Amino acid sequence: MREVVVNRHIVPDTWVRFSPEQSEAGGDRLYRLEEWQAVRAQAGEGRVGLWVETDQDPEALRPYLPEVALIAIHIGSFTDGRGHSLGRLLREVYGYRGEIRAVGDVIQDTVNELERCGFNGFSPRPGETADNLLRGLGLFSEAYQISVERPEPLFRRRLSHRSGG
Amino acid sequence: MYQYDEIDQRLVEERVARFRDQTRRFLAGELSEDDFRPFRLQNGLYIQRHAPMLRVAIPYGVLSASQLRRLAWIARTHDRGVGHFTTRQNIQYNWVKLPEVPDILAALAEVQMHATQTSGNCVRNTTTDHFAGVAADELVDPRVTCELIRQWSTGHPEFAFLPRKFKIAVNGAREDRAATGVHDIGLQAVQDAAQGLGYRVQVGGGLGRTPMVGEVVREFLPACHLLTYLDAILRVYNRYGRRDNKYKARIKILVKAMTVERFRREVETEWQHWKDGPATLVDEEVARIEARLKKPAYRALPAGIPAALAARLHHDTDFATWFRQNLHPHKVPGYTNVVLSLKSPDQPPGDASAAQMDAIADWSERFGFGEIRVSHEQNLILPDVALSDLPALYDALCPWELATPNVGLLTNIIACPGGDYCALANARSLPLAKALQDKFADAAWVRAIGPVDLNISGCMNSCGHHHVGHIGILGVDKHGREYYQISIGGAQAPARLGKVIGPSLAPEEVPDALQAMLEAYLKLRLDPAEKFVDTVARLGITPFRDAVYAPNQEVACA
Repeated sequence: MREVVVNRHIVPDTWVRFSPEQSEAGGDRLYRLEEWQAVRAQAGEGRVGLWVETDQDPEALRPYLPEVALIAIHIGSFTDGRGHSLGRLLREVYGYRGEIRAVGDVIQDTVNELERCGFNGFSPRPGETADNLLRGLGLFSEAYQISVERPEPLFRRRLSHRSGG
Repeated sequence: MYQYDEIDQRLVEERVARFRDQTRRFLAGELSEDDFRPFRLQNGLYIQRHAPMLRVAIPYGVLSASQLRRLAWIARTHDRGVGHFTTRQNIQYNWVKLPEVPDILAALAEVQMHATQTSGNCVRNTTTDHFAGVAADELVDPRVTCELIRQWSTGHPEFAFLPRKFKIAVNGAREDRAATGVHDIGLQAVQDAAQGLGYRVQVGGGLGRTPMVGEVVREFLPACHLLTYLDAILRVYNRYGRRDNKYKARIKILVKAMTVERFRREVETEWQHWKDGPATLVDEEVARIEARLKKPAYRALPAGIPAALAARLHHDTDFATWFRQNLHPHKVPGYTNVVLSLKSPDQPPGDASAAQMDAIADWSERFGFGEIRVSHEQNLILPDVALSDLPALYDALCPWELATPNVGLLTNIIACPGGDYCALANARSLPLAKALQDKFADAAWVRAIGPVDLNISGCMNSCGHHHVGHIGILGVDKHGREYYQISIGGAQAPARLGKVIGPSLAPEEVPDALQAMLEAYLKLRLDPAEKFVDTVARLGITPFRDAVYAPNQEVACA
């Protein structure tokens, strides 16, 4: 089974893309939004994930957020930074708590920033390994900006540090 | 300059470590050329015509003496003894070797410098008025704002892969010396009687292929909301900016396509989620940064011209010319700001040798408080020079070819490195700049012409800011030959874009064309107080076009 990184651990990838032919089988299923909308009423056992592109409007996902365990954001090219904004919006504005997984063009050199934007799952692209992705995480001991990993900016930590708080 | 604390220092060192590992993997064949490219660009490294080019950030154009000495050391050790100061207040080395770049970055980190985000589709080095903090006409010192933006933008996780590059400029003075109108975001500091410090926020300016002046998105943004508002603008751009065509990917295209009204609504809606949140600035942070900006210990000096200076001015006309041309008023009585022209006749515009850099670092300590500024006009500035020290400084500058009295004049040419170095260029800039220096070698005539901004770009990317030159020259490729398109009437502030006067010219025709236009100007101007660019504004381009393209006809006098 393919390996992915979730919450900084290497785990087997249990998620399978939904296809209408195999709709009976249980297990963790990844649906496109319109697929999920179509089969939602008669869905069976197993966890549900949504497969979205980087230009997905998060507002359209809002009704389904409580029921999906995973949102896989498909990054076609790692230089497409829209997924970073989508990750932050899902976490910080929509309050989504499930897994947000980067799939597609995901390499060691991009996961650090994705993680800071709320991604906690990473599926390496062909030729890349989960081991390498792990090496790419947590490269910096501090950060100036607010983001999902640090909801307060550095200047507030500097302040509380100085005042002994 | 802002002095790092241990966290700033650690972050810049961690950045070097990351790039060292990426370079190692690239050289070992573990990271492909295509994959490495965005990461080397985000660390300032281009692959050019002859060798890689490294662009080092000089945040808001402020350097300490020890930093300038380190830049000189890098030029000597890792380049061919020269650095090129750019129109974005940075420095470029044109002959570095890729395997040495991590060491160069480590050497920079030792003096609290970096090459972070000097290229790539991310937030670039923030630029400002080169007289920030020392200008007589300053409302607000923009350096604090610039440092806040430097920290906010450095390694911003969400905006590492924007649709295109992103440039922010801040101005705090009455005169806009930061060209805020032609940046992706231009911030003009405003002091409001009721609400205190804030910014007028302009978005969507820029040069390049589709030059535009930015639109005002917010008349007044209270200073405490700076970072959340910037986040909101960048998020709207990151999500909706075009990614299918790099020539249509800048934020200016998005603002135009959306209309500024809709863009403003999107930003304001987005902002509501973050406004008043933890990233809202607190006074303590502003005070902390202020305290870390080294403040000169000015002496109480008499305001007038000291007697020895007056005597020198009286009997030394060369000195007097330099005094009139290359100084800028200082906010503290008895002090002035001295512009060291990097535009001597034999010098490529903006180039400084390692020896010159070392000498300038020494003078900054002897005559000032150990600080140097880089101007977007590609000159260096010694701020904080006591008026009484001017004769000694001038005598020191002359043998180094750093006292050419041409600041603000025709021969203070702005030029990108052009086709001699840059892989993007359509034409060379430097030989043309040299030909123009030779053509306009008569300094008295150049002074008679008065203020002219002459800007040369070797291609549409407009690094030489030709659109906002009073005279702009753009290199174009015509069937494999270098040609030059001339525009006139541009200005950096208030930003105005020049108009093309006619078909492009062969390189050997350009100097005569400029001479013809300038002679026409001498006949047409109302009086010597009317600048070339004002005459163009009054009369339009026609008389100048006729002067160039119908050279045998007399120019009609007004």
